[in-house]
Amino acid sequence: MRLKIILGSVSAIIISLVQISFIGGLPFPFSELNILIIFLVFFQANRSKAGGVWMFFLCGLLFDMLILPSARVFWLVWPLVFIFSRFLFNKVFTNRSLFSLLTICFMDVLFFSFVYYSIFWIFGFIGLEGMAMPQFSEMGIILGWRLAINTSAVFLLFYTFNLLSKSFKPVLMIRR
Amino acid sequence: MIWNGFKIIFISAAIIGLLSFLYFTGFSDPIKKGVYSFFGPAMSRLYSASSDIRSGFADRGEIKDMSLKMKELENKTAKLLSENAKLKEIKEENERLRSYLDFLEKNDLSYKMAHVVSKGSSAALKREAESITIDRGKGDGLYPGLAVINSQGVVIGKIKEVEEGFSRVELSNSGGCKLAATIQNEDRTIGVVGGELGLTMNMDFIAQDEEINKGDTVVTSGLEENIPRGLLIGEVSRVDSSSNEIWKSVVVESPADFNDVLIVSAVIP
Repeated sequence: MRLKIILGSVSAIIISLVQISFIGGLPFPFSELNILIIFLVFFQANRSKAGGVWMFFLCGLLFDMLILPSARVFWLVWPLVFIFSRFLFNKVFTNRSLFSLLTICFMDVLFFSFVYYSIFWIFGFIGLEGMAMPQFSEMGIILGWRLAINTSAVFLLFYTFNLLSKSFKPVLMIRR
Repeated sequence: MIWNGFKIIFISAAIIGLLSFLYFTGFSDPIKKGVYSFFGPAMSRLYSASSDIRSGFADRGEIKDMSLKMKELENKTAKLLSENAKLKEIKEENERLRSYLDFLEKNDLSYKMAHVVSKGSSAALKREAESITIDRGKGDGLYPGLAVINSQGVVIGKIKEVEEGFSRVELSNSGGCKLAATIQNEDRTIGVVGGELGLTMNMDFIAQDEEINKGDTVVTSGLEENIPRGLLIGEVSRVDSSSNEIWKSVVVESPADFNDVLIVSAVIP
């Protein structure tokens, strides 16, 4: 159990660093890839409860420290995304099919974008310094690419994991 | 069961409250400094790798214009060599005159070199706020408003925010970056160069009677408190002038490649 927590935390930290430094530096649209959300989808799919929300809280703290500018809200945003994703897995999509994972990834990206932009809009509204908001039409293009590239990544990884593991294969329950 | 739920919520709220207190009151600065110094080298390498990929993408698009660009550069080099020779003469004459008039020696500028560790933010809010993060901060004597140059001495941006071990540099082609500039023309036109859409830079509100030509060099004017005079910003690539307008504007093109910036220097006056 402890080992799972440590391994999960180290993985989350490494993924956060790669997201901030490597992915952020790639040309558009590849810079819209969010490997932390992809990690979240597959993490939830494995139904690992080991320190999940704390892991994403840690990631949020890292993002707030290492990204400038930051309104220091990632420590809240990432746990919220985790809870939302957990809700989808437990109450809406209760299986690990490709369709479920793709839809959950789609919803997670939408939720993350909604929460993130909302917070900055609120900051701007109440007069706190926030980041520049993109134009509405540009936001649509960015969101479109973000959804496309992240769901494509989940699609590819799903089949890759299927080659290596039985976790995502459908199982028929036979009554005897 | 309900008590366990309350216990978890209470503990979570306490930890979040403590961390928020430490963070917003600055007591977490030593932790932040430790995090920056621990992760900085890895982030620098990761950014370098992604920068190579980004350059590869950019290069592919430029292959078609290669031969034209080469010819243009050869002509430019020849022109610059002759200009350089003239400037050397002027510099020597200037030094002689200064010593004759007993001027004090101007101190050399001091620089702080830094690695670029990331670009923009993970949400990748687009070109209006293009920025890079460097691995130098408050502890290295940096503060907001300093100019940042690349290895060729071209201004690539201005420091916008400074933390303990990291700083954010807003690139000069970004909408939020403004630089007090002078065009090296006959009239020594003074203005403000502002970035546009992460692609180019403009100097607006120039009087119609100012004589500006394509190719004129644009440098920092020294009118900003923390930015010395004479740092190269770019050159005039287009003059937008209409006879029925009060003002004209110029488009300034920087010789710096903003996609291929790995090591920069902050100029400390």
